[in-house]
Amino acid sequence: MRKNSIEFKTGFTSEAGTYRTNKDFFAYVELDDIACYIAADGIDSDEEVRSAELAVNSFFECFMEKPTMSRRKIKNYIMEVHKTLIGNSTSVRLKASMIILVTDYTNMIWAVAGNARLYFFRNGGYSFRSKDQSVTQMMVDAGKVSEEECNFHDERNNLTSFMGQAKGFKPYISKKVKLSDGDSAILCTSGFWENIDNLDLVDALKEGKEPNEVICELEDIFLSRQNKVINNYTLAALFMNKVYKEGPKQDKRIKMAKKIGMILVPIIIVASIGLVVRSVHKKNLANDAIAYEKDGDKKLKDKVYNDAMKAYENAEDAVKNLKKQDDIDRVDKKYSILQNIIEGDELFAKQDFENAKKSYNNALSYLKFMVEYDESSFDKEDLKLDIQSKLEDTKKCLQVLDLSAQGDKEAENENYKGAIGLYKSGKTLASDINYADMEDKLSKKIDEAEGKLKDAAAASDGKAKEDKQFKKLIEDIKSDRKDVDDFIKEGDKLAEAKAYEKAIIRYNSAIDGCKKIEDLLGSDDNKPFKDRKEIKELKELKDLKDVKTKLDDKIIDLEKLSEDEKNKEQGSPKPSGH
Amino acid sequence: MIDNYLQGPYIYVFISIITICVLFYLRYYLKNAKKEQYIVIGNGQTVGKRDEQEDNFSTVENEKGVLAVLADGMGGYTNGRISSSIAVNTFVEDFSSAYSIYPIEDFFRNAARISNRAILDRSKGLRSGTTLVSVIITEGMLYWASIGDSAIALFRNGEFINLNKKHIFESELEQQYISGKISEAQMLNNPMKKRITSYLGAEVLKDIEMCEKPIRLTAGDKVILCSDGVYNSVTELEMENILMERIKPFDAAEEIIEMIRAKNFPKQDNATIIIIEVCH
Repeated sequence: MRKNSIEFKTGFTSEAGTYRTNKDFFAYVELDDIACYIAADGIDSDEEVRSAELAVNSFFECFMEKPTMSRRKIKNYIMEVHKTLIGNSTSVRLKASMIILVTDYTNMIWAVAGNARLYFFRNGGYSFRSKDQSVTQMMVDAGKVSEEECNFHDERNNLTSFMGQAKGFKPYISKKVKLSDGDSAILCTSGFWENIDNLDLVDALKEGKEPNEVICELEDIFLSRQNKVINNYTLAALFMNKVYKEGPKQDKRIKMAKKIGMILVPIIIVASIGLVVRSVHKKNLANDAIAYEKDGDKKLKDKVYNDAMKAYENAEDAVKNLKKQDDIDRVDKKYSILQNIIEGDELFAKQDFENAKKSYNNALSYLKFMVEYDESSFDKEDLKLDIQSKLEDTKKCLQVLDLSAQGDKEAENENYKGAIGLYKSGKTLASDINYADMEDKLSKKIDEAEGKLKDAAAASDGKAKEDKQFKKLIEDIKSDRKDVDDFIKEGDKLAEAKAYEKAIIRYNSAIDGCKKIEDLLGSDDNKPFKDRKEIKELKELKDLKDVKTKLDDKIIDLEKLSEDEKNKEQGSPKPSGH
Repeated sequence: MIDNYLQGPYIYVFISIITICVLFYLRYYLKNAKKEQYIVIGNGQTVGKRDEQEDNFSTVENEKGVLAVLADGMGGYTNGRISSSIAVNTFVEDFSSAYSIYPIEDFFRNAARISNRAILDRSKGLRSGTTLVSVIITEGMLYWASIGDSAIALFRNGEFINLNKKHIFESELEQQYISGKISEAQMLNNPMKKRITSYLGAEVLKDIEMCEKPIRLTAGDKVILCSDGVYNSVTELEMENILMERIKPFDAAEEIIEMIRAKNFPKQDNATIIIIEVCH
């Protein structure tokens, strides 16, 4: 209990001045280990609510619940008071200026809202005063108004911040100030300090032995000015004759240091252990990474790519945990080379040569970047040649496929000879690179193409024969027709010569000729030509039927004539039809 | 040679540099241009539950500055409306016709005396009178004068600053109480405490309250003149809320008057308000 070891004395007065009501308020509380003194000035025009008293009571409600020297908490209490004033503003906005002094009898802090003031004295002399939150104070700070002038300056009550302010309220909370024996403080509202100067305060403190004596002295000085208007004023004097001395053990700083030490030491130990474990783990990881990488390099040299890739994969995991970018990049590139080679191989096996080519090219480009690393663990040139060889094979395979496709195109255009040539080139190439599958396919294609070629030749022979036959038919028809015509001509001549019998024979021969032509067209061999255009348009055939009919008629006529002639020769008259 | 330069890309570079310089100058000019202050005035009025509008007001703006005057004719006396009208007209005429309004304290005092005499002459022995509040804003400074219980306030940074006192008997009672002549009960229970002690139209004109020093106005300040019909019906907080809105003074005045009308007090007095806003 600090209060037993200290000597703090307080005296105060709060008066209405020339006003009917006193809107100022002063209150204090001295607890065992902490004390709080508040002077407040109600600066609103509300006649019913005493804003200063409300503000002070509201602050003490918070403070008594949790007495504290914490600046943050005191600020929170002040903000609570501010909210209380706003909440209680019904017709008029409640406003108050306030000065708060909190002490643990060893240190003190003060808080200001508005222009209520704290004056502090040490060794009987003026030490400092709290700064107002007013326009005048701003001018003082800017050097435009002197300290002496500021108590009477026009803008002293033009406040920049006060409790109950509509917006922008920001109280000032001081840092801790260590107290000494014999220190004294005066808390007052503007109604007092605007009529007094610092010298009056110092004089009164020197003359007065007790706080109340100082108050009386100051009030006398104040009232002796005989101002026409005296505002509400509040004045409190606090004598700190003996402050509480904190011994080394009680020194809060040491206590705080111990507390911090107690917290920090375990943290440091845990952190150190953590760092050691981490360091060992890192070392192991580094060893693993090196071992895996070497293993990968060896397998790469032996061209056991799958195993090499697994080794690099493990090396990459280990290196990533080490977080060494250079190592990560190097292993990653090796891994990528192998990944692309294996991928290329798989695609090659699946005969996806285009993508295989891409993978091999990627592998080559990664290998190219490997130049920047000083790497002698595997023969880059050897690997390069291997990849290039694979790439070459892939290209040849692509070429075989290309030749096959070209051959197919030629075959489609019935250029079987060209197709066979391309197929054969492809087959030779496939044979060179042991591309057995394609070799077989191309052999089949060659056979197929050759077959087609033969068929084409055979088809060509048949047509020639047919053409010949057709030609012969035409010629036969023409020849037979000529014979028919010749017979008719001869028949006609014989008929004119009245050699009817002979004429009939000729005509019959002509009819036989016609029949022969018809038989010729009707024969099985010539049936395919029957509907040909050339046959249909053949003039020798066009009037064949008519000729035949005419010949029949002529034969009948000639037979009659021949009979008549015979009858004439025998002398027997031929019975007349009449 | 010069032609070659003008034909080449140099002309574009030159134009660009000139343009940039002009833009920088404009920026500097606009940033440092002195913003002129100007005044926007709004007002509102309601007759309340009275038979006649006895409040009177006027605002004048000329090369000398801005004058706003508001008078509340006293309904308890005859010719209240005429009294307020005489007071307002006298102030306006004096302000308009005066060669110089300086010193402004004298202007207020003379205008008040002339008004007082004119009201007395007009009343012909009958008791009549008016309160009066008046402000002059010139060269960015606010001067004010008050007789009676009408109010002048400055609304700055969201806070109300009452500028004048109310010249009512309650103030005298307070002084008597402070000096120990009467008890607190006597002071509080005096039925005449709201009686106006100073007004225009009195045989002996007293208590012309004027500002001790002019107040420098800054942008955003609002000067409010109102009759008791306003401040007795609308609380300071309600007025604060309206004045804090980003609306024109005329709309703010209208809103306050509407609020009075909405409250519909059975004995609503004439209510008049003038709001003068300093803008830039």
